[in-house]
Amino acid sequence: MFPQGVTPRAAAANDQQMESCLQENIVSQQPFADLDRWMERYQQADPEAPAALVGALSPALLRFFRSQVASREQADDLLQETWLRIHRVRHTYRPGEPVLPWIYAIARRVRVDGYRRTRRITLHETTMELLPERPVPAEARNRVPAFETLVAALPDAQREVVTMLKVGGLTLEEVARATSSTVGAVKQKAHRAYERLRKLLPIQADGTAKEAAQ
Amino acid sequence: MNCHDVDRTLSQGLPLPLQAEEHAGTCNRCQQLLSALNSPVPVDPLSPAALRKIAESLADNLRPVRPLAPARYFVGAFVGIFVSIVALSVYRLGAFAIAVMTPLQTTAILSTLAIGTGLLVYSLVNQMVPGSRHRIPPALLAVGITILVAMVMAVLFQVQQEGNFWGNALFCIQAGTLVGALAALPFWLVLRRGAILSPRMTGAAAGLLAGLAGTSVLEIHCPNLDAWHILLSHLGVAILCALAGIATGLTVEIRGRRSIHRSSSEYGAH
Repeated sequence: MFPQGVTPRAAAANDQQMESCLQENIVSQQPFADLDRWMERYQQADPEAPAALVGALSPALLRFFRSQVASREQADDLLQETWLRIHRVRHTYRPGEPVLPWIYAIARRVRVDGYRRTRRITLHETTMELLPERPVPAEARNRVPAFETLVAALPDAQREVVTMLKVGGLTLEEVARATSSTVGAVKQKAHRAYERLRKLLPIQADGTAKEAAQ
Repeated sequence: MNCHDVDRTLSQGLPLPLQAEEHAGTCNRCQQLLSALNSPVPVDPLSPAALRKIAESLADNLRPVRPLAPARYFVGAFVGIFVSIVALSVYRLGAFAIAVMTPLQTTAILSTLAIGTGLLVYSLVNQMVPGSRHRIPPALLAVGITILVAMVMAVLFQVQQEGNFWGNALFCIQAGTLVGALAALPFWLVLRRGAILSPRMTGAAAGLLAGLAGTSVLEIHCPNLDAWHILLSHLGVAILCALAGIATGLTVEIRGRRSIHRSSSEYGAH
């Protein structure tokens, strides 16, 4: 019934934890603790596993998508697609391997496909009326640019790395695995991203100061 | 400690040392950068109903699945297919080149092809499993192997006068491409056991591997040692097969995108 190493008591505690995530939508590192066990149970068709995994990973995945795409609707669609794809290829997870790079590699691919599809659609769209004015961003008040505003100026590859590191909470090794890259390449991208962000900061700050003054 | 050092520490993924924090305390830019990087991405929480809907849709058609076999089985499968196809083709066509090449040429070209094959097999097996560790990025590997083989061929063989250059080239390209196509089919059957996230990149690698089977057969069979002939028609087979792999991958990618879009629309309607 329970995967090797999971006692019924521990599993019950996990169930409660995952259930609370599902209820309250809390994002913390805690739900990631036993992901590999839940993945094994998912492969064994344990009916509780999908809810536990969806509850534990969806908030972080949604944040990952939200920092990469423009709208919440798109992020929701991408999240849904990611779970469909995870379900389809769940046999490719090898027990004992880290789960997060496996999940983020799939999520990353879904994002790329989603971006290509959206771009194809928007190329054929004509804007008929002006978009509603965007609310003043939070950074206009405290002069610190928000994460997504800041990373929006980065090239795709750098933005992806910084987002996985800072939003997904992945390690360099996990980001390297998720992006089919090497740890060295990830470090280099992150370093370039931070340098670039630093150069952008005064401009951002001035821009937000002007907005605040208006 | 200065701003550059803070960037370097951040990109190493390490927690900031005391000196870096002291620097950030006095440096406005570092302060701003750190605050922005550590600020949470504001997202409206997902409704429990939406999460439950996703979880239920996954649980609805949940069946036990057997995890993918260990990597060594797939390495064995790819190498076995490669060697079998090359051996069968050489048996059928004959090994005339071995008699005319010097031992150095034979050893160098076959070793290079073997190294390229080994690296491609390793990369392909990793590409079958999302989130695998790659020592060399797959895109770079395919290009690197092609360049390496081209360089070894250019160094080992000399330009010679040839009577029927295009006729000979066409014969070799046809024979090599046929061997590549024969190898591509079983490679595809092995690959489809895994999850191919980037069909174009995997297609290029698998095509190149199949093409290298063709190139290997030609290197053992074809007694023509003209450098241009070898580069154009022997290595050309590998490049042609890699391009065919990219085209196949692109087709799979477009079809996959449509099918995912369809299933997600159906899911939405459901």
